Amino acid sequence: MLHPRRFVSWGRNSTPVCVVFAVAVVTACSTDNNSTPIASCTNPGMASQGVADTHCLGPDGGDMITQVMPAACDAAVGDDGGGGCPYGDTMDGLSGDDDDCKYHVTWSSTPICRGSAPVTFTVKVTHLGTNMPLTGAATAAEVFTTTPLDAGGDAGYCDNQSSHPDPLNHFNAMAENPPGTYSGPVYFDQPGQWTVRFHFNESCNDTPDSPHGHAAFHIMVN
Amino acid sequence: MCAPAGPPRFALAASVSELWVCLLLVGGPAACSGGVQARSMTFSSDAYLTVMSKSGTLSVEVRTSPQPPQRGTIGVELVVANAGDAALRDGLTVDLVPWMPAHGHGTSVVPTVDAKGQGRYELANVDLFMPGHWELRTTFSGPLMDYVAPAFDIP
Repeated sequence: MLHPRRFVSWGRNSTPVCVVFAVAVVTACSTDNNSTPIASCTNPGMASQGVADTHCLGPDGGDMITQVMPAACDAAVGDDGGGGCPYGDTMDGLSGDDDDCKYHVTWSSTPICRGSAPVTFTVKVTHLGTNMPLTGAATAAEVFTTTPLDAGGDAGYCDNQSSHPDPLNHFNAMAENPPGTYSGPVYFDQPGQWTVRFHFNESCNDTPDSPHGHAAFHIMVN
Repeated sequence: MCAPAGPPRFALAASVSELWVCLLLVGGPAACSGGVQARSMTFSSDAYLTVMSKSGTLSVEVRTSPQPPQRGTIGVELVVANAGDAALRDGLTVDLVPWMPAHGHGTSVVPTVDAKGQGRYELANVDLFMPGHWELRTTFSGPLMDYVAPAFDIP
């Protein structure tokens, strides 16, 4: 029940109303990662469900591992002319290996909700074979709506034909803590299937044994 | 009971009005600035780059919005003319792929193209999402086939 006196009081002194409203607006819309409330909603999204990633398993079930050579970070790189898909398949679920079979990646997040409040993604990266954490990788997330044909779960489509990035995502390096675990904000502004592609050592040139790598996951946003 | 009669009803209207005033003054343009709205595209009269096409028959002026280009989703305007007589070229199909040669990949978002006439082609959703050296690998087709790849560094 609305109390009449409350509205009478607001009507006679509008200043407190504006102050309270302004504080609420500033709080709700702040983009400061240290103070912005984490997104929440009644029907959060989730990782898309599908077949577990096995692209780094050989025919005999053993791991196919690419040995990372740190010196290859600065190696001269040939120009492939842009033909073919530059990325591995976008994966379902909460874990998988990077496209070059260098790293194993697991991720988690706060509730996946639309809006201007961030969803914090946390990604843990280890070297395939040794399980040692991948440190100092300046991991960053590229976020966009999934390429339409790829969104259907069909294999063979390159997930680089999106029609929409969320302009709030700025590909900033995620904070690393503890070593090999990276966290940062991600934003979604519409429902549907999204791709979150993590880039590791993105400043390195892209040769087969370079520390440079990517792992992408399908995210369903409600 | 949610709709009190008489004076309190007036008070409710007054409060709602005040909230709208607050919304306009405080929560409108100021709130969420830098938020989800896309950058509007405006192009300088001065070209950022002018490049010759691969065949040498076209001259292409490149403008960006913002200019110089910054990290994020930007707009690009191409003004295409004959290199010889400077006649503006309309009716071309333009396919632009932002690409990072050193990284072996480009952007994951497909730019949209809008032919504006007078040789002008505006491209939106050019998502230069990370710093580094970018090429705008652009293919012209239709009445002619040609190619340009203006390049620049994003800090």
